[in-house]
Amino acid sequence: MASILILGVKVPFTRGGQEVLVNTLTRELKGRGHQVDTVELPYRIVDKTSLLKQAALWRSLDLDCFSGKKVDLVIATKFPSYCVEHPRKSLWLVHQERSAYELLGGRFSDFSDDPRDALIREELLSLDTVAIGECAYRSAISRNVADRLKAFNGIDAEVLYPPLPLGQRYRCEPEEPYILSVGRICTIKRVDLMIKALSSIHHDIRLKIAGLPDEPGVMEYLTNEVAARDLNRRVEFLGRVSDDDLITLYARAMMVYYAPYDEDYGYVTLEALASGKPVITAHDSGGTLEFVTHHETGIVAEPTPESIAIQVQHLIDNSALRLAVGERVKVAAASMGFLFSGWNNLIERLLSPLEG
Amino acid sequence: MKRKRIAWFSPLGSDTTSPDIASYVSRQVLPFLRDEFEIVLFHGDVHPVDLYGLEQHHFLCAMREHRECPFDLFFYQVEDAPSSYFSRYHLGVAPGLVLFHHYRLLTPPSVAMHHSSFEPVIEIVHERRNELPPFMVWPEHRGPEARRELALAGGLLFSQYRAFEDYQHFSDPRLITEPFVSYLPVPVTVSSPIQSSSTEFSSTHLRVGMTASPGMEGRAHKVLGALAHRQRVGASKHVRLVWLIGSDERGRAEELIREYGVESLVELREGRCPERWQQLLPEIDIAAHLHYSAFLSPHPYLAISIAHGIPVMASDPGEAPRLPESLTFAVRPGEHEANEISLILAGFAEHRANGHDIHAVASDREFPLQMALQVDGYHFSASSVAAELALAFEIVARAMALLAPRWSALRSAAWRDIERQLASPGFTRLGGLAALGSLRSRSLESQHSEGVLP
Repeated sequence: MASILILGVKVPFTRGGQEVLVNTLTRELKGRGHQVDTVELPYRIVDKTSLLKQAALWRSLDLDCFSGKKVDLVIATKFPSYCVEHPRKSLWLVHQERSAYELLGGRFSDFSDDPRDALIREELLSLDTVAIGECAYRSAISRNVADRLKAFNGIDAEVLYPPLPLGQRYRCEPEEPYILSVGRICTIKRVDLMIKALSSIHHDIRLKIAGLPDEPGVMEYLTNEVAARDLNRRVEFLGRVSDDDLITLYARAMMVYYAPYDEDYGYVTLEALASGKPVITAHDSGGTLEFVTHHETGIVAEPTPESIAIQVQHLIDNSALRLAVGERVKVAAASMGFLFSGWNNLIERLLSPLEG
Repeated sequence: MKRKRIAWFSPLGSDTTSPDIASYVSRQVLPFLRDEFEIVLFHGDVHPVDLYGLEQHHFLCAMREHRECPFDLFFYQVEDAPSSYFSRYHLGVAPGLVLFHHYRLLTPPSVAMHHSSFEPVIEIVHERRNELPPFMVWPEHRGPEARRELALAGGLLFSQYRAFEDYQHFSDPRLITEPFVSYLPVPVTVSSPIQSSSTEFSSTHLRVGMTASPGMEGRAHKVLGALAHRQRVGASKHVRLVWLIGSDERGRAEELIREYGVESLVELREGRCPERWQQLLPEIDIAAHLHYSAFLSPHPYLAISIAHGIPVMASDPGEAPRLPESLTFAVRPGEHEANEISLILAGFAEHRANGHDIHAVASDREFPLQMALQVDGYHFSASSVAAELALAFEIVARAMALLAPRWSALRSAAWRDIERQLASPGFTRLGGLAALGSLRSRSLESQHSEGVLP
């Protein structure tokens, strides 16, 4: 059995897919008898130069051995953890520094055309290409992330979809009249689109939003939108919920809304499908589109409140279509073996540098 | 002679029917330019389509490609659409020739870009200022005009004549004090015999075509109002509107149609893009290209219709005064607009009822139709536009070569500023950037003393 360090990047006081991924990978590796620990450094970007400082911080770490015990393998997950130096480095890429890559030039990036920003971005691209190129094995959590790596850095990566964190516990129950939204509450997740759409959807339908905000001002903005549309009785902010409550929320939802901008992977999508629920997403939502097809496993709308409202109302009004979609969701989820039992193959691939 | 190497920024889209103007222009003119120039495409899509087998990269790789094999010129297209974000961003990193399809931009790409520090950058290049402004302190954004893009462009082309005229009043400081400026119309490839050779109404209905968005600026509500009027007076029996809409516009379009009660007179077709409109032309008798706004424009659809000899309704004030009189029906925006449209449609309907051809209506003017089309054929043809663009490449490449040393000095100064900011005691104890060790594949000097422009 091997001694393995999983390299995570942590923003203190927040919790999202990255933390879930690191925790479940740790659990699965330990369950297979490996000696595993995590190395998580706090990630704080004060200004753009912080990105280079963070990369240098990781690069300066010596993870070769601890207390006389050699570290056989390190598994990096996201920027800047893959900058670390180690003779056996495996990569399961969650994402790079998104504001310098796929979000650049758009409304979700704070990189400007200032020449200093431009030079830092170019530097990051060079660093990433070398650091990721050092990895003995390279994979990504989705086709979307793998395609970005190829497009930006010219590096190929295998796709290893993360299995569901709660395993086989998801279930499907008779639906109640609410749409469920799950995830970190921040601008890029675009929960506001669903709130705005709700006022054009039948008044019996409610919206339940599970998750915590991790961006200044976002809750104020969303609560203002709710109030402005007189939706206080229809929109419920649930905050952080337990795993059991989350499973129940999924089980009883009519549909699950998950339409972020260019998502890396999207656990929520798979959790919804595993619960037998169609997913409302958008044509620019990235990783979700690897699993959601319009009127097959959900709705793929334009990223506008109007389009989302029209599509959702159409599905609500058309019970035959809704039934058919529900059946297709279950069939699709059943065909996705990796959702529940993909860990063996995944771990075998991540640990492949040990064979060398 | 060695071909000039051009970095061509353009969205390529996920298929060849994307609605943005830039990718349409690229598809039209690249076949005429690819032999004369070494063209490398840069796009903003992770999954681009092949375009004439040309080398292509994601735009994030542009500066790396430039370091490895320098470009003679960077070429950008700017329009008021999200597909233009990456071009708008990068023209501030590596200035070059910019083709503006819109003069005023409603869609700022990001907060940081919206408050760009382009003005101090221009001052530094012209040696009226020594230092870059404080990091992340953003100046206030002014106006809907593409001030940043207009100021940073090393050479400017405008595909709308009105924008070309507006630019004559642009007085802000510019990167190039007297840049090359020209009007360059939208290119059109006439793919089938022009309409004038087929002059009969080929169906029992008068078929009106429209590409407007459901918003106010495209005047779709006025066209629908005209149809509603025809319906009220019992004269709508043989009038049909084919409305080519964007994929996200069906809901609003249907709502508008319901509002005017003309559901039986309108056929919606999704997937608005220039090629799709061109394919639709044999099915229509007259096109409505009304537009009354300082933003956006009815091009390239209007250009495509004119180039194919389709009579058009256009707004005056607006595009109408610049179009061939023999093909154009000017419509004045305002309270009588729907009535004017209704009268035009009535005229066409009457001619059809009397067995006259389509262009008898349009050609009841001083200038013969054929002469007008010959002139427009010269202006709009893709080969002519490509030739003009090639000339602009040569001129602006020379201008940018002169700018190169100053732009290089700016980037070197920017890197020194980054080093100063990294010189905190903690980071220095860590080893500074040297801690990145083998990750830094090139030395500071070699990487950042290279210029952006040759």
